[in-house]
Amino acid sequence: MQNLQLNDFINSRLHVTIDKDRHIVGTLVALDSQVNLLLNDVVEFSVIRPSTESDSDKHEAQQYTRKLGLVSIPRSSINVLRIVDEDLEALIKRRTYLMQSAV
Amino acid sequence: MNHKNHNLENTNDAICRDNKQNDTAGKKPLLSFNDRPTSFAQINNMNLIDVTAVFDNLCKDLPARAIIKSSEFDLFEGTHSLEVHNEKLDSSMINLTDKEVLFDCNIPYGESDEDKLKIVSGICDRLVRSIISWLSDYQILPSTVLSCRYIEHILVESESHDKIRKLESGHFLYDEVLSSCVISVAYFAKFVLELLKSGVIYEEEDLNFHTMGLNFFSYINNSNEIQESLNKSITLLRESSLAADFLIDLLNLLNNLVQIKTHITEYSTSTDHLESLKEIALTLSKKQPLNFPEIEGAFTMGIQKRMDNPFPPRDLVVPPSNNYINFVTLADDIGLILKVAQSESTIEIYQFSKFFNKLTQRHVLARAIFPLFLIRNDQTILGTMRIDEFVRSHIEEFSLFATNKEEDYVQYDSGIKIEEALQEGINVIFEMYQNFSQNTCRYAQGFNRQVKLWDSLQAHFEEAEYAITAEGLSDKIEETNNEFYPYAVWAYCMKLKIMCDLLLKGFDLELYKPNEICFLFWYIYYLQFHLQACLKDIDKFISAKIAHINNMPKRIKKVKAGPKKEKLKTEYQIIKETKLPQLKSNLAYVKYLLKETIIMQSLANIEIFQFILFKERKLVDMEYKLSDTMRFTNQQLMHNLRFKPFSSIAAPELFNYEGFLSNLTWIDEYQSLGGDQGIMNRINLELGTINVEVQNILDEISNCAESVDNEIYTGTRLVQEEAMEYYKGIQLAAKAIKISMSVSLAKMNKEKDPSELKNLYRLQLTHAETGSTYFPLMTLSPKTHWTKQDIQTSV
Repeated sequence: MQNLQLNDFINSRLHVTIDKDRHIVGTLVALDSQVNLLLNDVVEFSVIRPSTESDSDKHEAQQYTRKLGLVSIPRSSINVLRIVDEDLEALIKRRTYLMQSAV
Repeated sequence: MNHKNHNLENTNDAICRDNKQNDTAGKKPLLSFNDRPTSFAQINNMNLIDVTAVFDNLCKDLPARAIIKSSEFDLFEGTHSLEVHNEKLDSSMINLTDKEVLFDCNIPYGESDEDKLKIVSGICDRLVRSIISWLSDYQILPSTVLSCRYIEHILVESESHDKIRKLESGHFLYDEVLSSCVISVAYFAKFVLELLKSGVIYEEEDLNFHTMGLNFFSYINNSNEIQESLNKSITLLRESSLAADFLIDLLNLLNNLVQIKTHITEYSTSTDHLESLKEIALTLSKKQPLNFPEIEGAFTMGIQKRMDNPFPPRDLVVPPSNNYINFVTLADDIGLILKVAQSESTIEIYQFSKFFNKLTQRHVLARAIFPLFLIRNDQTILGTMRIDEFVRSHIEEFSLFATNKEEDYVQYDSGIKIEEALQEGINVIFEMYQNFSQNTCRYAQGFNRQVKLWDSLQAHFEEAEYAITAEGLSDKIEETNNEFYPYAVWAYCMKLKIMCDLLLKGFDLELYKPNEICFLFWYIYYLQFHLQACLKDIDKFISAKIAHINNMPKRIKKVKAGPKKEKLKTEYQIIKETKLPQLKSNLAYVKYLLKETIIMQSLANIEIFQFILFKERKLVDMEYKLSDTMRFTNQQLMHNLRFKPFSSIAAPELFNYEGFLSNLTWIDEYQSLGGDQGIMNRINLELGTINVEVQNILDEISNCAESVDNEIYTGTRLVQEEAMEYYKGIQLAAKAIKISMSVSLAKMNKEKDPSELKNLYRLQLTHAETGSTYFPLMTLSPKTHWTKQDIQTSV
């Protein structure tokens, strides 16, 4: 993984956990030096629950999956940034292949 | 270089092979290897590798202002992105109350039946008012109709079962009545979505339809089920002991609303449901405001947080209590456009289309239905005429009828060229009729496009007619012995009219500044001059044809009695019956157009005269400028930009900037024009001409003359009111200019130092109330704020 550059991650699907109730998956189209991300084709997974605990106990939290389009995520909102292992392997493989070809 | 490219291709191939996925089509990412998760559970089951630290470390090494981006991505698009944790942009941050979150659509809210009735009536009332608020007030769906939790619930439930699912609360007021109301509203929305998809009206400009990822009954093909459901609810309410008149009215209104679709599916011309819709809407508007109890969560911003939403959060719209009245406008406007089916000639269709949306922008649904109702799926006009016949008919009812080129062209080699040009005419006519129902700004854009289309069509007709004339098929204007080209003159006249319409629409849209008046109206005068000359030729040609027919009896009289005479008599009778009425109608229509050119020229003159009076006092000049102090350095470039739509037009020739100036030197001859009094006299003269000609047209419109012997024919029988309003507006605008000019002159002449006028007043383009917005008044308004120059002077 150490050989990977930021450019390699462009166009890959990233999983961004915002908090325990909100998870965003999108295609990385741009980022800056502060790790503010711009994701396209975003799908959001969220849990909407009542605010009071008594209600939370009585009712099941409702899960929603929805499309949001183009979303910018400031670094301060990113809890964890992840990528599917197979995608990462493919990125590493591609990077290795390119480096070998260049040599 | 080649070697590297080769390797790169291999790399991609290898990746694709390895992953057995190669979805590079469209904007999908190159490395989208895994099926996308659809739930939290699936995400939890995926093998995800934490790369947070990798990103943090790599970004540390980047220069502060560096941006890494996909080559296919334009950063400008990034300005439209939704920012996480930004309250104004992040719909996930919408705060919902617990009642909104836990709202259950399958609970029959209300203690007693009466309570339930009030609650259901309140929900239906707001939902129905939300529809018209969405359609008439340019609101968006999620903050109006889709804010109703029941709509979301029923659409989601129905989609998962591929059939309509009603509420399941156990009470008929919810399960039948509220369900049928919600279902019919969603079905009506589906119809609006279909109109939007037909491409006649535009998303955002005319209407917003954010579906939020909901499926609007794509699996329902007709309204039978919807209407049955509504009727069942009405019956249940009537059979119950509840006082449900209000709710029954609402359901009946919806029943009428869903029937609007029949105008484009069955091309129904019946207006019964529209009349009923109006009647109910009026009754309901009189009953407002009604204070029904509200159930928290029934209308909520929740859908913006739960469903697909590429837009920032929008506050809920509480539709005004009196907006039932907007259903009347909707029904009236749809009723109006259906009248086009009563047209008896192509001229009537054309005039109808020209006037129905000209002064008042009609309701968006009426504008969307009109072209679909007129030009049908089977490529016919109103189901009676093929579109190629429609094009021919336009020309026949103008200049082509009874010419040698009307039918005989098919026998000549060059006839094919006429056929080709007629085919091109189909596209031009189609474009023109599509444009008639556009919103006011698109209308102007459409004119812009059409100028070029008509110019090209004219050129092709000319080429074809020159060729066929050379082959020996000729039509002569008797008086001048000049060749008459019936196809080309039609395209030419249409082009000139559209060029003027485009210029005048700019005044309606308030695009011009006072300084431009002179150039623009002089050019309009110039175009009208050419149009007039062309119309006079057509007038001569048709008049000669009519005279020829009328003289036939005299000629027959001279022939000796016998079979030849009888044959001539029979021939005359046939011509008299088949040709004469259409020729007279064409002539009367051309004479009406001639009157229009006279009116337009007089109006253009009046506009220029008022300009001269202000120019003499240095309150206006002919420079293109942004403001009094900000002028453009290159006048010619600005001028070329303003007249760019006409730059490629071959005829009539467009003068360059110097050409315009040299044609307008006379406007500086204030004294030789007679000074204030002389110019006002000229304005009066022009006004007299306008009054006479407009009155003539108004008389014909109000009489709806059917007799072919009338002097003029406007073809406005079906848009009588709209056409009269247009011409009265013109008359009023001309009078207003005269009055306004007298007032301005008195004001200006009071000033002892005329050089001070420009410091005291600025010129504005305004319109008289109810006067035509196509012909502005130049009015003086006191300078109320400090200009840069004023400040410098005072300092």
